[in-house]
Amino acid sequence: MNAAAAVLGVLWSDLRRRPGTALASLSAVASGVAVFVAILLAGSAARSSFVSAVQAVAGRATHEVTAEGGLDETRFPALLELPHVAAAQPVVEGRIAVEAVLRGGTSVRSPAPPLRILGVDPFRVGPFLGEPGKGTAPVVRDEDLTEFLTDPHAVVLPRRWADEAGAQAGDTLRVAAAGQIATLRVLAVYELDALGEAARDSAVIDIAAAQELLDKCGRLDRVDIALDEDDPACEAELSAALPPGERLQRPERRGERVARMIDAFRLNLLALGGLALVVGALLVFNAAQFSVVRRNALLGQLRALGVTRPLLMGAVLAEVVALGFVGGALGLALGSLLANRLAGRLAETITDLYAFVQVDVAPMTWPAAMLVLLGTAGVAAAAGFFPALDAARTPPRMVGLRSREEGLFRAQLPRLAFFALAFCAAGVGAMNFPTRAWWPGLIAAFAFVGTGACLLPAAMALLLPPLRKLGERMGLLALPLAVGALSRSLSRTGGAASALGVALAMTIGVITMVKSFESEVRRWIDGAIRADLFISDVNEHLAREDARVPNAALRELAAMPEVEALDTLRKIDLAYADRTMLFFGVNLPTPDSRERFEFLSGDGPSAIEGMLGGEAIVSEPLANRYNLGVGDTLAVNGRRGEVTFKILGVFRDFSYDRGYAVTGEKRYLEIFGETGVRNVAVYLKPGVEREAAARSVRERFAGRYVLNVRSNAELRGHILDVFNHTFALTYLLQTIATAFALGGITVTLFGLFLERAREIATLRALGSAVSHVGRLFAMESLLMALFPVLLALPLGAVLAWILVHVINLRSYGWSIAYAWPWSPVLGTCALAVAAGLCATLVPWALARRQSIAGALREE
Amino acid sequence: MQAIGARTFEFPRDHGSHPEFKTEWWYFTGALKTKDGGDLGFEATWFRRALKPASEVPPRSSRLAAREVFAFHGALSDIAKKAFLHEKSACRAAANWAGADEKDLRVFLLNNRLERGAGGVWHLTYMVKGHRIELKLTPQAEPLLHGEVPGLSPKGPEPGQASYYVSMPRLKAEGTVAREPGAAGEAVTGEVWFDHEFFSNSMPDDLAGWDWFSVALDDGTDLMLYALRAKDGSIGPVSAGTLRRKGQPAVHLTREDFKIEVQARWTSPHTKAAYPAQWTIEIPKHEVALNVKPLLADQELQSGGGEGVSYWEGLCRYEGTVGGSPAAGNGYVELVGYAGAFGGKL
Repeated sequence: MNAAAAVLGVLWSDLRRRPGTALASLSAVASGVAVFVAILLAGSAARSSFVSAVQAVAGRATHEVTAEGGLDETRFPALLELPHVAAAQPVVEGRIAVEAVLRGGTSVRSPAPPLRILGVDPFRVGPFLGEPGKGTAPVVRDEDLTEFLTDPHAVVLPRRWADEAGAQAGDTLRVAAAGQIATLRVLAVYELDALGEAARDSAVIDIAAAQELLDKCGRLDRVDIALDEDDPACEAELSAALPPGERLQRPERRGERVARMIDAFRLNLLALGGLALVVGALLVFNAAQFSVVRRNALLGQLRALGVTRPLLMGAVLAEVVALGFVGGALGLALGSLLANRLAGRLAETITDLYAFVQVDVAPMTWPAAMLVLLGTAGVAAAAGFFPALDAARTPPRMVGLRSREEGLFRAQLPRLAFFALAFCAAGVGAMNFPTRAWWPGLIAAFAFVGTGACLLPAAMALLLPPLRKLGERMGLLALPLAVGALSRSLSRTGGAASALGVALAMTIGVITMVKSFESEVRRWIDGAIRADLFISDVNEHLAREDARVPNAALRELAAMPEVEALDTLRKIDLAYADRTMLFFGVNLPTPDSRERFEFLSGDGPSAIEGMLGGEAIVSEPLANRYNLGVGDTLAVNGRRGEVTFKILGVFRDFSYDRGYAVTGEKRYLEIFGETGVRNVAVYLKPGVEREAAARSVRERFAGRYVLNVRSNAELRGHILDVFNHTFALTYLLQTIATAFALGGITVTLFGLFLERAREIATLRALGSAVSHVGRLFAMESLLMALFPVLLALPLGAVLAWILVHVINLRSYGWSIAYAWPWSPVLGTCALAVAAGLCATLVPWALARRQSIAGALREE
Repeated sequence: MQAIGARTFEFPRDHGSHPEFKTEWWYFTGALKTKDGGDLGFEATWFRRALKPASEVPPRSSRLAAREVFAFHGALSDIAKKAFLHEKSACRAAANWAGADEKDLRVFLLNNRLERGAGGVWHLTYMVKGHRIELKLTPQAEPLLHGEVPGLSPKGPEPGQASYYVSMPRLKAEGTVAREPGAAGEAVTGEVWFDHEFFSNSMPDDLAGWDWFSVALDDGTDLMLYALRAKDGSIGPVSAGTLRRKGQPAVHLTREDFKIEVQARWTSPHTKAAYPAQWTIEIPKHEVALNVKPLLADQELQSGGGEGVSYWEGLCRYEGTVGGSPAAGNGYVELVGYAGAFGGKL
């Protein structure tokens, strides 16, 4: 025990003499862990917020009855008669934007956060409130009941939202709902325990008022059910008693379906986080290996003093594991902070693409945190294991020789080569795995990254000696010196170089994927965006299903002299397989509007004709995801049961990764009822100027409707904005990973230069000018950046190929052509080289000021 | 609109809803017998209450928008089993959720419904605690209009403190009653008393509650009496009743015409309210002397969790003499205002 303590004491005091090195190692570990943790936390918060929102609204309902397009309100009494229904609550819900909170005519808050509208029947809500056995304050008090029922504008606000928005009973809210401006009167504020914490933004209004506000008259979104006995037999009996088209499900199933919608997106992010973790792990590996190899001499002295092999090895590993733990803990803390920042961006992107979400990052659970810590310590232990083993095995007299340090590293080269080969084989194997799922693509990407990371130090060890000879033969003084210095320090730099190489390759891969995607989207926009004006609900992002172009607005548009035709779009979210898809009803009133589909299969004109007649065409992602093609039958649930469509064509589409099917307006209305016009494309009469027409519509609608009126050019710009916004997050993560990698290499180089103070002093004592020293440093840095770049270019190309042809195609269903974007790729490489050069500036400046004699004496 | 002055009643139109009045109820109580002679009693009542006068409610596009609220009280007394079941529900008058026809007798709250069907047969269906009751009711007599002014029944000293009040005694009942939850119905026959009242004004301030009696006796006599109790315990002057002997016109009874004496009391284990539990009724002018005794002590409809009011409404045995001849029958008694204020009964 004492001996172990003494050994650890020696290692500790050595560490204290070099705090910079220790800090560099720690920050490398911490940053790798932080990025991964941040993505993990933010991603799962986004997912769970969908599920918890559903639970909040469902209250204590065990089940719910739904139908596509909503239940007919007159079905409610019959539902109560069905077997095992103990209580039932009709619900109409939606989400609205709150433009202002008004008190006595003046605005006290504008805008206020959005609200979820929960339309309920106060006579039926009782059994669904609160926790069992816990008394709860009623949402609607008896004295408010008459007003609640009779005033179509009366609303009861949740305490948390009211406090946040500064609203109180008696205030008025100016809101935008279903494409129109409306006012609500705050009747009262209810305490959260009535509906549960997650209902913080649920404003309760009467069900009739909700139907009117959200343009859902005649329909119920669902009926919440409490079964008398919550067992599968009762569930089956009730389910069997429902007419075709109505479905009994657990509320969490709906949440899961919605959450599954973002799974591909979230897992892609997580994969990106995983790659960031690889970079982090390489940095950890580098730091751990460095800390063992660097102290070879010290370890030799300890062996000479009689410290046994197991003790020495144990002590070294203990130190490395401690590094993993401390760095991991810092990473967790940093990652949690980063997650909060990331969550906001993530919420915006998911809201743009899928559905409105507000993300609150929950702190990491203890088990998860422990897992991360153990993982980090494990990577550190693995990194330190072989050098520690070698150090322990070496006879005492051999330890501490400078040549021995690199010898230790070189001994590992065959191992690295073996791992590279193994990774490569795994990658090739994953690529050929017979499945349509996208995860083998991810495994392949990781495997090829592993291949590159193992290959780079080995490649450097192999390539540096010939390069040195070449330099000598060409009479360049700095090159052989720099190459020599690098070859001697491969043990310290190999990991960092791999980290940079991998990070750069990821960057190149992602850039290539995004640019390929972008050029494809631009081409698609040219074909798909044909009408002159596009009109949609401003608040579409809040509640896709509730977005409307009000009928009154449509009538006004149709009556405008400039307007030739209105291409109206109805749209519904359907449960399909275990997730959701979209179904569109279109009218395609002009020849031009029929040209907007780019068919990948099927005969265009006859497919359009047949589709308008009641059959369907499907988007590429839907076809790819469910293996559908021309001639197949698409079966979906309508209001009155299952309906089938013959698929007449598959068209290219980049607007919805969930995929959608399109049919004619007439058949759509037969099957789903009037779900409201979601958006309208306006074709203008020949000679009418688009921008002027857009202005005239905006002026006409101002103050009455909350509609976006975009001209053709504006919509194209908007789509590209959304596209860029989407990938902004990807770029952000990428930048973080690359920055960490560059930081890692900078710290490594910095440490190396500082270590070589004596060498530099010798050079200067021998008459080298300071500028020569600078040139040497620069040359070394250049080489340190060039090798990763040489790895990154081919590896990046491979990763991009996998992203485009495997992961994107299989997870989103989008087929895009691979395009290699030279300038951003080369720019990224140049940036890496420049950052490497910058790393030489400080050591060089220090070298300039250094006293030669002092440096020589110190050693 | 207020219940002031005489009203010309037209049936079946006046069996329907009167939305111009604030409050209205359709009250069915009946004495039934199973095939093996077991006594059953039931109550099925639909209450209508306008939330606001029509003029104060804006036009609405949702068919679920509510101007009126309906409540339903259902009870079943199974004397042989000594079981009393009751259930209350409320619902907005909207779409097919709840409502009443204005032109004919049709009133419903979710799946509890009463409808006048073909051939003038009334169909009554309701559920109480999983027990389904389905009855066909056939009117046997003309509507009975209560009050000195026929159909106008004063409830207080002020004009408007009154209701329009019509009964249909002796509806011949045939149907089924489930005596276990979810079970098939057993065949029953019997006689049902239907009360229909509508009014707008609130009750006088010093009204504490009322005792209400109704019975169709085996000699063909129909009797309805109500005693309005003041807060000091006295029986108010506008208490009244109606007596119709077989083959004779209905006679209005005033406060002075009848005497009701309480013979026993029963304390509710649920609400701790002390209800009268046995009576003698005397109407000397018309030679009526009856003993009234509950067939089951506990027939109290408790309010659920503070909503509405608790009251006693139960099947009773009426026995005695009318015009010197013996007369008997199963009828109903309603006791309101013993368990807290009655104001929230609706």
